[in-house]
Amino acid sequence: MDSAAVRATVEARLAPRFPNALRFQAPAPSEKVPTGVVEFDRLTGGVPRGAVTEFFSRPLDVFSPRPVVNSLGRSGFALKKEMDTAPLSSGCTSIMLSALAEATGTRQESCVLVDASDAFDPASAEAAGVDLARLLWVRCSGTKFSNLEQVLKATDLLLQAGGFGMVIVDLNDVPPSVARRVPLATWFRFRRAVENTNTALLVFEQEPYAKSCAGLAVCLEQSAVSIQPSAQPSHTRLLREMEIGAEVVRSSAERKAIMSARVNFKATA
Amino acid sequence: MFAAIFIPDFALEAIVRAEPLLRERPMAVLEGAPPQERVIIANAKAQVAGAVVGLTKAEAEQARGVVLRARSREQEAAAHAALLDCAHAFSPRVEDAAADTVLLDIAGLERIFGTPQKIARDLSRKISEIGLETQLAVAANLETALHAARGFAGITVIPPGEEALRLDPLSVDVLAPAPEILQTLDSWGIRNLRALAQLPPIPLSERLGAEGLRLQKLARGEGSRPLVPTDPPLHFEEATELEHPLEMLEPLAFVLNRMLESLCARLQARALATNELQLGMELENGDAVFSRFHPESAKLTPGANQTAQVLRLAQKTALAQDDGHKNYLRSIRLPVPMLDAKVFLKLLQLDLEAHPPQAPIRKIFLQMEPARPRQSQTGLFLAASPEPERLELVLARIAGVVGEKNLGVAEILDTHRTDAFRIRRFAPVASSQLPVAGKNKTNSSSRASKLAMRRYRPPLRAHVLTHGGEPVRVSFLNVRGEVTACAGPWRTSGEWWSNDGWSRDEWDVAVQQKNGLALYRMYRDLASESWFVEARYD
Repeated sequence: MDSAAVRATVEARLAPRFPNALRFQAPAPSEKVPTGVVEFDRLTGGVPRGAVTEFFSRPLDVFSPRPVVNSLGRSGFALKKEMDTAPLSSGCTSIMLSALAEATGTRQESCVLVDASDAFDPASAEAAGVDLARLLWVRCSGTKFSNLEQVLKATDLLLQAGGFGMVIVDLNDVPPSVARRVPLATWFRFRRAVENTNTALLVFEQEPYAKSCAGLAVCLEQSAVSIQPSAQPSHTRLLREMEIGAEVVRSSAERKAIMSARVNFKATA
Repeated sequence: MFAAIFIPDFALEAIVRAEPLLRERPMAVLEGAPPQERVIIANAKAQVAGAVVGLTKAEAEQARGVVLRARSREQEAAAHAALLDCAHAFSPRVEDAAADTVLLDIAGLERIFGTPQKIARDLSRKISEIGLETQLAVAANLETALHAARGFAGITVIPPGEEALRLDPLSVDVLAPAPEILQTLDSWGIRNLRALAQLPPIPLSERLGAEGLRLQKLARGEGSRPLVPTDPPLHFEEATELEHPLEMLEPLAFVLNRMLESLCARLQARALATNELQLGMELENGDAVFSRFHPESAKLTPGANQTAQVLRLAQKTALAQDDGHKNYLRSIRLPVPMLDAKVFLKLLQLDLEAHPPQAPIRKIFLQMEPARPRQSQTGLFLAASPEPERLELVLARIAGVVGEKNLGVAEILDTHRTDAFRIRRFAPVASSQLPVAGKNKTNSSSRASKLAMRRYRPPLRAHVLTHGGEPVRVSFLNVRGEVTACAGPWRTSGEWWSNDGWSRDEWDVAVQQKNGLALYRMYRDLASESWFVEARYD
């Protein structure tokens, strides 16, 4: 008897006793919560609860392999070697504060910000509408452990504890060469920890690190910057607004990734 | 109806309550100043082994396998308080008759707790749960119950009208007569209550006076003393004196666990919870420290629970915190009242790991501040928030990773200084209102995204080339580039009257990078003429 027949026999015998175990159960569509950026929410429906959402600022093609021919005349592919460069103004933090304002202000949820580089500005957050009393701020300043170790440990504990509406991990200022060392197993653990919970895990970073563990991956980039002419009164408020482009590069909610879905929105100073 | 609770060999029971494993072993309790310590109580196994009451410590040590323990006033006080809590869990009218005796009025409790027999059984079980072995009696009058509790082992329930009959076999000793009366009765051959009850009253009165008649009334079960209810202060504290100083935190957890369970049981008996834990320790060679430094040390009552008194006084004057080498005091405040010994143990362990005592531990004192239990109305449509007990543990664990000061809620300070905030403790805020359908949409559309800043803490020193006073080229860390646009200066200054004042020109600059623009907030410190990068717009 071949294996397929054995399997069919076993399944036929077990089916009446364990009807649910052998039936394919499609995952229930996860609830999505708005980020407060109307254009972005219209495109994606918001960020999913019970899943990892990545917002990153670097374009993907920086890491795509390029064809090369070596000295022996053999062709192949090589990855571009990029030095860690300073992050640009890409709008990541603006979206982060907008999402926090929605969660803490409108939905009155308790949220956490795990801040890898102690860069969170409470004044900006308050101006954006974040209810600071509902936001637990974990500042990872690298005393006993490295910043990244602190981030991973704290995030793990917070996800296991549960009960938070949104957990945000801010790796924006962590150099990609350091953040890439986080093993994929860690991201799998985070994904498993938030699955079937009401917590939305948002990771803000320079590159996508969670790969297939992310339920939604969004690339943000600066589209246009509107700068106040210098002839104006010498107030330090230079920026008038910045246009941010958001591209959905992965979405587990769709059968196929929406590679080309793109939206622009503005953040005003 | 009245119930009387009597703990035989109370000093021994108090120690066994702290060390339950000793219950099965021969054990004797010593009292007195070294080297004149004598055995004051010995259990049956110890007596069989030869350690009888009155032996000196050196003699008692000859008895094989007998565990000798010094009398502990702290443990007796804790056991007595626990006993009172058990009684209060059943009746509001409780009399604190003696350290080993508690009386309570159980009249009218049938509809709540059942028959007197059931009340007696439940009370006995409750007391055994706190680690004490009791003799318990229920009777129609207070003194009969008291004498029956002192005289009979286990649970005794005396129906009304049978008092004299049931008290008959008891020894005259249970009435605690004066020694001379006891001697007289003994010389008459009166050794039990039956014989005393049958004596003719008038000749008895002629020979022993009014006291003789009173004793006879008691022997006949005709006592009429009313119950004098006491309302002891709500102090929930436990103390343990260790036989050998503890140097490791791991064995300490076992001691703490037992103390926490006792305290939680006591709080539960009073339908209370706690919102503050105080852990005090007397470290090795710390005996004279407090009295040497503290002017109020003379107020300490010798004997009973002196460690607790020391720590309470020390706490008032914040002396103990500075005195880390001798006395150790930690306080854990909880955001909401809780009653979970496991959570408390974990919190204490995490706190001890973060702030270990600097010397071996000799005495442990644990106190819980009573508070009304948390009452929360949950709702189907309210936003989820973390469970307080679990959250406390997680916060304590994260504090061990990132540091206590790096965890909490940001509170912006009322000052013109930039980036001025303080961190306060995080506690979940209850939702004030139900989310209204469609509210999200309205808010989202009406609120435009605000451009946010990311701070550099501390600000980064930068090299800036200027032209006509304006920055034209900037370099710091791995950022180098031309300034494509700038706005400023915006001069600010403040707190010039203090050493922490500031005076600076702020600029917003757009720096061209390889992939796009990066927008920074910079400033020139007017005192040092140096440039710094304070934040990045993102």
